[in-house]
Amino acid sequence: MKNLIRKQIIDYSDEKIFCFGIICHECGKIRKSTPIRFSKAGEIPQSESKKIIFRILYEREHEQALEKAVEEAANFFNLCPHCGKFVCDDCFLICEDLDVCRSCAEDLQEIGEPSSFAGWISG
Amino acid sequence: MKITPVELIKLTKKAKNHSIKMQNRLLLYWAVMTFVIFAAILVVMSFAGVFSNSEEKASHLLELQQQNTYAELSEQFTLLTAKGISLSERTSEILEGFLFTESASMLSDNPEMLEVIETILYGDLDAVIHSNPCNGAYIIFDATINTKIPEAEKSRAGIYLRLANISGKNEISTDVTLFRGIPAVARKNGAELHNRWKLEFDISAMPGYDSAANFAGTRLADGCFWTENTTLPETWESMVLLNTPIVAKDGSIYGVCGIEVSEFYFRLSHPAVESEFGSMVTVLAPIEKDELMVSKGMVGSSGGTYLRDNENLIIREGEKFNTYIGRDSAFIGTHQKLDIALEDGSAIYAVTLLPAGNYLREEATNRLIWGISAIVLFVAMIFVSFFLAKKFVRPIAQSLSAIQENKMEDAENSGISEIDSLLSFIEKNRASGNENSLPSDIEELFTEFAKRAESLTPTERSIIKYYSDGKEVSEIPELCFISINTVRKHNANIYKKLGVGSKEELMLYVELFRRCGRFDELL
Repeated sequence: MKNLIRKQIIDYSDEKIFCFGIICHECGKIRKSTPIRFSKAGEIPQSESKKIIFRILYEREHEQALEKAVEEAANFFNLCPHCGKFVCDDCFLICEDLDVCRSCAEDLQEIGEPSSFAGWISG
Repeated sequence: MKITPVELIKLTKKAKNHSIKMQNRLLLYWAVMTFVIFAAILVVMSFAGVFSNSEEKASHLLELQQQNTYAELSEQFTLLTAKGISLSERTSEILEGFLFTESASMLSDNPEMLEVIETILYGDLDAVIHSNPCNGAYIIFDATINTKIPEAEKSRAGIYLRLANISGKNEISTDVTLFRGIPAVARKNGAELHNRWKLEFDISAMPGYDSAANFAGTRLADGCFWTENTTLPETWESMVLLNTPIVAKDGSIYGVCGIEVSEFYFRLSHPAVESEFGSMVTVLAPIEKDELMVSKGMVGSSGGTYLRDNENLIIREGEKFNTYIGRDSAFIGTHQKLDIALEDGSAIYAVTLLPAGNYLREEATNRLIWGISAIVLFVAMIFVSFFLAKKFVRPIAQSLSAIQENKMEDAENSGISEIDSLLSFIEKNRASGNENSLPSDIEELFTEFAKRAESLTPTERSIIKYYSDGKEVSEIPELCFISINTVRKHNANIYKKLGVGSKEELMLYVELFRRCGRFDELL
């Protein structure tokens, strides 16, 4: 699942902030991850070596931010088993026999409720 | 104290109900098996003749009889040999009284002197045949009454007395007949003439005469010998003769004297001895190579045993006794060398024979009896084994059947303590198992829960399956390709449908269903 998300993720990061987003193939909304500030944001490297170090740090923190964004996205995105689309919780319906996206539910005449309705349950 | 029939029945029932250890039953079974094997070995050994003591018995019989035969023949022929020598010495002494230093030929053409000498010697011969185990005795002088007759060369004067009426059927008579000699001598002594009487001996027909008459030794015993079985001249009777030279003091030969043992006499004096294997026959005969020369010897009374006196028997040496095989007959027996010799120096043997047929039949009968007895024992043991095996297995089978049919409380005492203990243990265990079974309200709870689980969707069921496999909630999105929120939504639905408040409670039910083997009811 995380691999699928990783393939779908869009990088919105800049020099100071790491941010990623995923587009729901059903509703087209982009869900962005929680922004993470680069630890050296605003600092100007004084030497070439510092530049190299800053760059390495940036890459490392970018990777870590991407990992967090993937984990975050996994909380909201589902894979429709019928059409194979990557959809958000609002567009993924929990049906009687098989959970599918809204379009597929309509096509298959399945009735369900969005999984985003779920309240937070312990466990 | 008297026991009433009712008490006896009660005691018998009590004894039947008393359990015997399986080990003891098995011990009994193996004991019977051992007997069966033993009986089988007995069968084989019986037919192999191991237990048949016929050979031993026959050997013992033959040994005993042979001892008697040897003793009798040895005594008889040794005595006769001694008497022959004694007669020779006595004759020599008398002749010397008449002839002084002259030779016996001086008696030729002198019938008066011959009559006198024969009259004197008649008493000696009469004493020999009456006091010794023989039926005839004779003295031949190296002289003839008439030298002018053509047969004078082979005709010799002498006297030959024989017991009268010796035959295979009659008892020995003490009457004496004159077979050879001057009739006047017979008349004087009240004896009759033999029906084949002649005045003189034909020495060409007298077996062994030449050897004895030409004796040149010094010891009289060296010139003394027995002849082979031969026919008495001019009669049909067979006999053996002891020839002894009559030696003068100067070493010249006066003639020959001897003793006769006829075949009839031998038969009468050596009757067959009856035994359980048939009649044992005494034989006196030489052995040449491996052949018993019956034709050259004498055969005692044969009783019911058929033994041809002109048939030689091939000897097969055996461990306990020998086998003597003829053309169409066979005997078992034993032989021993006697201390007497034939003319050619060969030894004579005392032999005891027993028909082999009787012995073999007895042996076969014994084997058969032993064999049949062993077979009967074997069959009886097989039946006992079968009976015991059935008796051994039946209570086990009954107990097993009682266990299968769950009727252990109704099952009778098996009679085997181990089986009874096992039954009692299973019964107790089952009872305690019932005690540990779920209470009825819990069962109801289970049923209700299972009923509620029927409303679960396939996705919810698969999520429960993942939980039961030990997966965590966080692992479900990866496995189902859904978001964690979707998982949580499913969880909420599952809890709601099953009426549980948490995953822990859900897992408790899952575990209970699994332990009770009813997990499938949830899926």
